[in-house]
Amino acid sequence: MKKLLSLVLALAMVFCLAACGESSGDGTTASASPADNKILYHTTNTEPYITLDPSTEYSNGIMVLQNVYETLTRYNPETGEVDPLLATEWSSNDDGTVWVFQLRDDVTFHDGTQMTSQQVVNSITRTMELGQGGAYIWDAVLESNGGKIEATGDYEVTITCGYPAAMDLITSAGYAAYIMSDSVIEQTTEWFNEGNDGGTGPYTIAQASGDTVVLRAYEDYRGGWTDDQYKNVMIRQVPESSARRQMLETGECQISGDFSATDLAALKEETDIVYTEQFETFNNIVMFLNTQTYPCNNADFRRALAYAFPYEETVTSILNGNAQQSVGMVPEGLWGHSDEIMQYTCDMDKAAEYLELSGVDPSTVSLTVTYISSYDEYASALQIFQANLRQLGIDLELRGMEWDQQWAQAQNTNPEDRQDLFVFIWWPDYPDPVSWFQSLLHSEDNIVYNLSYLNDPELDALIDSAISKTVTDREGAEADYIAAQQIVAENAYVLNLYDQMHTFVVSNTIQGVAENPAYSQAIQYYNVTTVAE
Amino acid sequence: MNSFVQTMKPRIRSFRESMYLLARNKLSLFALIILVILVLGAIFAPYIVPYPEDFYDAVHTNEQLLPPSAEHWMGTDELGRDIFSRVVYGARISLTAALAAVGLSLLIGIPLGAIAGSFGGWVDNVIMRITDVFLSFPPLLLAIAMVALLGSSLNNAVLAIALSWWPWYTRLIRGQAISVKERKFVQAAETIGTSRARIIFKHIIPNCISPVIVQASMDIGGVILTVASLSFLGLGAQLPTPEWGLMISTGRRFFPDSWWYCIFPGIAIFITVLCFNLLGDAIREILDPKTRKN
Repeated sequence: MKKLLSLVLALAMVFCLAACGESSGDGTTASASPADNKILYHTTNTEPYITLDPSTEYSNGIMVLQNVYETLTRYNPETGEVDPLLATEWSSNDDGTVWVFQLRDDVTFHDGTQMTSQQVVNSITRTMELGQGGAYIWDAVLESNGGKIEATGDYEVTITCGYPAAMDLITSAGYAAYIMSDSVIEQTTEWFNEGNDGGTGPYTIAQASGDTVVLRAYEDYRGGWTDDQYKNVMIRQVPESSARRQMLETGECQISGDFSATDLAALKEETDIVYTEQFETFNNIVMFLNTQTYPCNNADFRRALAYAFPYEETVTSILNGNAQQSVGMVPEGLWGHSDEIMQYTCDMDKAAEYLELSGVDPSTVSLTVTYISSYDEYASALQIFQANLRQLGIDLELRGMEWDQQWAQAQNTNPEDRQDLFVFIWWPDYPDPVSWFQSLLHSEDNIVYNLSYLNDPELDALIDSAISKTVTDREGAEADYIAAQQIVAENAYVLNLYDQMHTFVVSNTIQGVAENPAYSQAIQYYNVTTVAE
Repeated sequence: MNSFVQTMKPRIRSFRESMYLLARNKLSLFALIILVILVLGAIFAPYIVPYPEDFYDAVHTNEQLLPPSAEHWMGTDELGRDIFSRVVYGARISLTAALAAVGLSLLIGIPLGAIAGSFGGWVDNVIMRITDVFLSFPPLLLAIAMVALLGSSLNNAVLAIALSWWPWYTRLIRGQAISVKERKFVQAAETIGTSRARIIFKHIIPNCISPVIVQASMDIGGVILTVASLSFLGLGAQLPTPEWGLMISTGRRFFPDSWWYCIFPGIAIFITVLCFNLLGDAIREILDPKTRKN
């Protein structure tokens, strides 16, 4: 009898389990709605984050953080202004030193608590106190600079700056401007990296494991959810362009980018499976020249290098037109850009002329250029540059490296142990030219990103002047920035190689993929929906 | 003169016998011929390749990724360079790197093994425990770690491989030395007061060298693969050096549409490694009568 009872119970359990897991035929289970089980797969060529700490992350993590956390304002690339996000409106005094932000009263954090002004103050204070990543954007608010941030009402925050600062732009930054719940304020970066979060955005972090992040819908998001949206998103690193291409072709992923030129060309032909979306970015590729050591401390030698770089060949042959040669530091589309700034073209006669003027004997020169090895287009462009320099008798050694190694060598305390040339990509922390000038060109006591090692008082004065005028005299600031860029170009302190365009290849089954140039690499998955059949 | 002829006669006989044994094994002979062609190709590369400038300096962006044709037997790469020319030049790099790495390993491994085997006692213990430490890591992993410390370059890759490879030779020669030092001619040398160093280098090492030569000839293929692996990982040769592993690494992103970019350097590695292994087998047969068939 006992055996019979056991058998009946076992059979009953099997039937129950089978019923619970019954497939609906499209990969979803019968017990949940289709929207709950749909997964949006996005593959990337780089790791999706370095850290997941909203105060300190200063790299790829923007892909994740932009979907999990929100900022007070958000940059609108169509108007060139910022739109409300967590703040509804804001105002400042005439000299841009006191800013008052009114907040939404319907925002909740992922832990269910209501967002109030005190949590905004606490979030920004945490970021300032940690002082890492893009925290410098709050410098004007630091107590040591005469600034402060305070809650002046339940839903009102007042920010006082020690000097004029464009707080409406700063609060829209893709780094260091995220608002988080009080419940996570005391947590460490390690805690965030374990896949925990405390944001107000449409997604929460369900899982994070270095090369993969899984996002899950925050059900109480104030915008609500519809069946055609994706409540689950998997962002996964797949370094090989060809592997990402295959995944798109077989339907294993729906969004990917950063393809090699040949893979992209092939995918553009496969219109029955995918389509491409190209977006202008504020990303530009720059080459720093080590102005502290021989021979790049010679302005004419730097000009010779500037004329030897294959700008047009890089854009047309290596990047298949998915970029344009830079004019100055500031990319097109952002204030501070000017087409009037001096632009170098590849001209080997002029290069030879400047080499002779420099007095440098090319046979005694052996230059090294460092670049991130995973960026294949850099390697290809640099090989053409190398061949051009060989025509001048200059030897160039290419050193592909991991970013950490490349940056560590650039920051070596002994200038002689640093590279001669350094190639990397830069995008602004918030949509303001200051990001290029303050970080890359202004003199600094300890080298961070001033990787041409510049110490030019005239340039510093123009940058300082532009920063002080940004809020009160935008035209004056723009004129200063343009003058600064002209100095940089004439002295060939930095070679502005090309402005990047991002091309995403997207499955025909989805729509709504867009990239805001102020938040490079980030896609708002909340706006992605399935295409109705 | 008579004395010279007397000295040379057995050596000539031995050489003839070796050649006979080699010729008897058709596969080994084939491997030897291929390797000779490869070495000659490497030496005379600038005179035999159709586009010698594509070795290092040239780029032809109007001829990118062309498939194999009469003009470009193995097609072109992403910068329009002739892959055949670069593969032939690549033989120079791979063979030089492999010989340098194995040579350096032998230079470190043989004396240490002979000293350990001859002296015994604490000297043997110290040397062999050090080799045990090195042997506890897979050679490729150890080489990767060393290159990470030294910095990425072909020279550093060769050095790293040599530093991870020598313990194998040390162990091999130590075992031989322990047996050889008991032999009567060594004891006789000791009796007449010959110095220890002379005994090691004049009597012990020459009598232990056969298995090491066999092992080294078989290792060259493995070292070529390791050099290619390090370059593939970005830790060996740097662009635009036409090192085979690096060519495969660069070409893999074009693989779905331009298969020739990866395939031909891959075939070059395959053939070279296979030939060295076959030749190693043949050398073992020549030097070790016990393994000879018939």
